[in-house]
Amino acid sequence: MIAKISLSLIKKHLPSLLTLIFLLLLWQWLVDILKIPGYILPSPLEIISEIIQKKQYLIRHSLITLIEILTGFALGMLIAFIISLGILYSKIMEKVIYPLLIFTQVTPKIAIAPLFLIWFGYGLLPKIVVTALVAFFPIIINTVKGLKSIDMELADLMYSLSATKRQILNKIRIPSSLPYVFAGLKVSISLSVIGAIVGEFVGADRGLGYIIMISNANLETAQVFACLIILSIMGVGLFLAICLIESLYSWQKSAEFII
Amino acid sequence: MDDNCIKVKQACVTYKTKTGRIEALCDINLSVRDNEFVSILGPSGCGKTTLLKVIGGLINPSNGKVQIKGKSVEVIRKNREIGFVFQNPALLPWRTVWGNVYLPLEIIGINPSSRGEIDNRIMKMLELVGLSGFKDNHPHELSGGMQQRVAIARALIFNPSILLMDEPFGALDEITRDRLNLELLRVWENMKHTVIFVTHSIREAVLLSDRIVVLSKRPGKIVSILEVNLPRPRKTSSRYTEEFLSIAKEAHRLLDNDR
Repeated sequence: MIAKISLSLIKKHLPSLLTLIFLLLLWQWLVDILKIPGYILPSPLEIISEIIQKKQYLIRHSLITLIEILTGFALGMLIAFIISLGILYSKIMEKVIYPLLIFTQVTPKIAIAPLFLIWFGYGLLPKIVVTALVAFFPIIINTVKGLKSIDMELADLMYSLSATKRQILNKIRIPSSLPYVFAGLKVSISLSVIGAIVGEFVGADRGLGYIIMISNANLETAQVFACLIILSIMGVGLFLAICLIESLYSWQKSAEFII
Repeated sequence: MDDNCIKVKQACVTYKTKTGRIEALCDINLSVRDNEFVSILGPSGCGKTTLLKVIGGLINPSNGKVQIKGKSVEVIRKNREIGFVFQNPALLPWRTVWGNVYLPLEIIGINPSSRGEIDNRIMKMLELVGLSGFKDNHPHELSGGMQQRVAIARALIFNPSILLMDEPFGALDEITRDRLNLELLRVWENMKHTVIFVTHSIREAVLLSDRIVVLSKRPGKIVSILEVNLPRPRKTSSRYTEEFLSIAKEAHRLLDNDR
């Protein structure tokens, strides 16, 4: 079964896979032939050997960043769901909270992050807060839209049956909002990766963002690339995980989860 | 004892819009007997749907009142005596046919100890509308006509004494519509509830009804009420009888005069 799926996966993505391999070969060749020094642009082989050599070290810091991403994302999601329900049931809440939400989103996170350092110290908490702050917005926008996307006729039908608000929420609104919610979660998980790195850039002694900062300062460019590769793999993995959960729990199949 | 089931007395409905007040219905007086099949016929935008919604308690009339079995619509609605079918089947896409028909029972709160009995009841209803082989299918796997049959089954599953139908076959092709008309009659002859059926099809109105209420264009007033004395049970051939044609002609004339 798994072998069959992976075979079809490879078949489907063969063109892009081949293109990737071609680009990597081109990169390797250019670096070799132009004798570009490693501190400006390391070759793919150098980066790979860097990853293998510093495996332990990179894994340790990756895990810290992963924890920040997941905790921040979960926190953002929780806040988003609570606020969405508030907006759904209260007109005043909608009027008061929506403008505030937009304020929190237009302010650059990188500019607020130093404040969190002052408030929450040097540990994981300020990174988690920054991550939650970028993560919750797309979830709210989509969840509110999803919860409100109820058919007029279905609403009439529920009214004619004297359904309670709770029944309408559980049986109609929440299931029909799922495709919207998952669309929000997918945007949000990608932003969470950025949020955690921004938090680490501003002040950290751990995590991939921290390693990128110090390796950059020391011109250890191969290490920077190693971190970038791990980050992008992590980002894609998290995105696919959301798609997988969607295909398990949502009645509408995800368009992105391509097998 | 007065056998009038539904009584509409001097009902008027006016809407407030940005450009002023629009009179949708004006001075409607109508009595419908128990187990009667009454159609409301009129040009689009004449307030047919509004009248249906007034009778079903979804809209409060600005003037006048509606009584059902001597009680207010509010009381009747809370007793769950009104079933609705709309032009849009408004099924839940994540539920199977069985699950969609089960929805009203779930909302009303049927004793969970009688699970087998519920299953029996739903299967009987699906049989009646000719869908027993499709209980595990999802709505997107069904044709428009089949979806509408599910909507009818859903409206009847809790044994309402009144069935309100708002152009239920309006979106279907003529062949399917003709077939469903006869099936609806068969279901109705089986269950004998009071039906109010909104349509803009003269043929449909004549074939189905005991009486046809002809509405004028906005603001909707009752132009005339036609008696249909075709023998029951009606068949495809009923459409080609002299009586059928003369009633259809009369309905046509009334609608044309109104222009």
